[in-house]
Amino acid sequence: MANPKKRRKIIIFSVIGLVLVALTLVAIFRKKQPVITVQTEKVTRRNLTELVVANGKIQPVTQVVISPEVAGEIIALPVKEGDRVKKGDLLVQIKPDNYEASRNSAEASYKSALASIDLAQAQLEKAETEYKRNRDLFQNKLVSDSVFLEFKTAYEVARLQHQNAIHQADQAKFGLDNAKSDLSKTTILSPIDGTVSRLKSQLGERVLGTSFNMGTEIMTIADLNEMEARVDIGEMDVVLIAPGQKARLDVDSFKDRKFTGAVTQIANSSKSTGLTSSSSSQSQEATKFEVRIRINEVEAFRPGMSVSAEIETRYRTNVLTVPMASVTTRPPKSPEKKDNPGKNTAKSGNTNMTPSTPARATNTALSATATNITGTNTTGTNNPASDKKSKEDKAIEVVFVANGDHVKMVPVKIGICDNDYWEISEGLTEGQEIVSGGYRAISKDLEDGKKIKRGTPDKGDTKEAK
Amino acid sequence: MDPIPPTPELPAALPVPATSLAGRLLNVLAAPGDVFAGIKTAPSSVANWLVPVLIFAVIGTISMCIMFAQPAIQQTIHDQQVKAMDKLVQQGKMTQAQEDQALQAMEKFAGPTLMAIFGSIAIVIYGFVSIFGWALVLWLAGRWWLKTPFDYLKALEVAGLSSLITVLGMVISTLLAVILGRLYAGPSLALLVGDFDPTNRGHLLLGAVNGFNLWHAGVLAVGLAKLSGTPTVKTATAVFGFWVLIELLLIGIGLGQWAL
Repeated sequence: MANPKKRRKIIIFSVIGLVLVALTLVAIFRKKQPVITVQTEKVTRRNLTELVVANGKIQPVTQVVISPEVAGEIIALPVKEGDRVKKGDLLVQIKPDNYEASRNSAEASYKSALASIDLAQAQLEKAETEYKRNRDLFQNKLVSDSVFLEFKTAYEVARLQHQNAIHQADQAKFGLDNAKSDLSKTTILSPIDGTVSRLKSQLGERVLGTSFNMGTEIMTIADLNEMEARVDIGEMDVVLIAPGQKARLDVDSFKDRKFTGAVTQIANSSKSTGLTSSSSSQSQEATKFEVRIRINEVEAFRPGMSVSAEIETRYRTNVLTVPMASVTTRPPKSPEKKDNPGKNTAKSGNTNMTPSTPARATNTALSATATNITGTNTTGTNNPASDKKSKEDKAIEVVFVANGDHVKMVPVKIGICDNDYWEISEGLTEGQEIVSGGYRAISKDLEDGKKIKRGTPDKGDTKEAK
Repeated sequence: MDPIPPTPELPAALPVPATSLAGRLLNVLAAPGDVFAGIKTAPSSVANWLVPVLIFAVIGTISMCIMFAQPAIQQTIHDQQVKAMDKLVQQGKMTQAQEDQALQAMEKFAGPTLMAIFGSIAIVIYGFVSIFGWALVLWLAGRWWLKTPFDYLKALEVAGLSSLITVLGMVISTLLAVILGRLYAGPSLALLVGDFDPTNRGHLLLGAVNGFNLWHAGVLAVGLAKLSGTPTVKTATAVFGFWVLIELLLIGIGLGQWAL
């Protein structure tokens, strides 16, 4: 009786013991998948305004550089920098003495030429009279051929001399006009209403100038009532800019105020600005195009003030949006991973998303470097084999959807973006919970199926600000 | 008339040999009938219920600490809290800002350590309540239904020793929770459910069908049978019937997680 009972006890305790040991060993030695701390947000609908951000300077719309057309010493300079002037006001008086002398000389020459005309006229009349008299005599055979010919020739000469005198008088007249013109150019008047924004010359300076070349820059007159922001925009973003687009402007000198404007002009040709890398001696040129934005508000702007512009390029209403940090790139899954079938070999291509579409990049040197780190622009080799490989392995934009305690990697199609959000046109639905932080988790650590826990970000786990 | 023959004396019941406390604690798993037969004849011993309660408390506390240290379980709890608050927001009982504030406060002040402490306190209280409660049920069943009353302390000893099965179940559940990374991972039909939802009554019913709960109820039935001297089938009806009622009641009033 005792034996069956004892056997039963042994069996039960053995089973219990085995189960406990087995479960304990499994719990201890199971492959522990690291749990990644993330932050999440929901996919929501928003209105989005795509912005292109650029920096530049404020300049007047109308600005005239005053330079002389004649050389000489400045003897009067009644304006100073900052003065308001009206059209026709005296700006500069150049010493006219030489030009007055030239004018007087030219006038005397002209008068002399006129007197020469009178003289030639008198001689012509005399020669004509004698010619006619001798012609009559010659017709009556009272004078010889040679005598008649002399008087005829003298008449012709007198007539030509008269014509010559007239032309010389014209020439003298032109010379006089020229001298008068040069004299008038010694007085420079303001061509527009405006403000003396820059005064480069001083009283007593000698200035140079000709009618054909720009002379010494004496001053600049600008109409400060109409100002514009001239910003430089990179080639990737400039294609989105069109005249008439609204812009928001931040002027460093007026931190408390926001200004508005509209795009008026887009440069057709670029102006390259050199960038020298501090780590190497090579320089890299960034291609920029100047865009002009008329400022709507009137304020005490001064030419040359720094300005930052946000140009509204595109709008979307009530579209699905996700935080900008949520979108990243991953290489597509390749079925032909011979080396490591279970391993994700695409770590090197993983980045957090800066737009491959050009809208978001700021128009500074950072935009050039930003495009260098986007997943879509990482390969820049000249090797056809690697180019082909890079085309095949082109990274795709993905978002990580939080499914309980793990994530699912979902390819998405992105649209426009503003400062904070991307438009999602395909791949997500409203209300889905997606991973929005930390930066390292999204850009490197997360893969499809990885375990997550929601929590606050670690210190330092933030993307550096652009 | 012939005189009535004297009633023959029945031989005295063979005394069950006394076992040590450790023996009783172990044998309740393999041969509960013997243990409870000894309980019936032996004098009452506080150790028979106090030690199991203490074991329950210690194992329960360790289990809570281990489980709340698992990131996956922390995440599950967080998700449940968020889900519950989202529901309140949808019902208009809470604004989104209040939900965000509450979640931030929870993250800050209700971390894993605090959850483990509260869980441990709760499990200790549950241990005492469970044992005294089942003892009361057995005592009442013996007194009112089976009409074979016995001492409450005896019922307490039976309930106490039976609780070791619950302790074993708790150990298995903890190991399964660690392996699977799930909060509700007891050896029950709920393991068949991929995404267990503690607010889903169907899932809770599946979770209630736990092998160790059934084993515990069976051992209680054996104990009641031994104490009352009634067939085990009858006592099993009482015990299992009561167990089913309690499970359904807890699930019905929204305390189904306590039924697991």
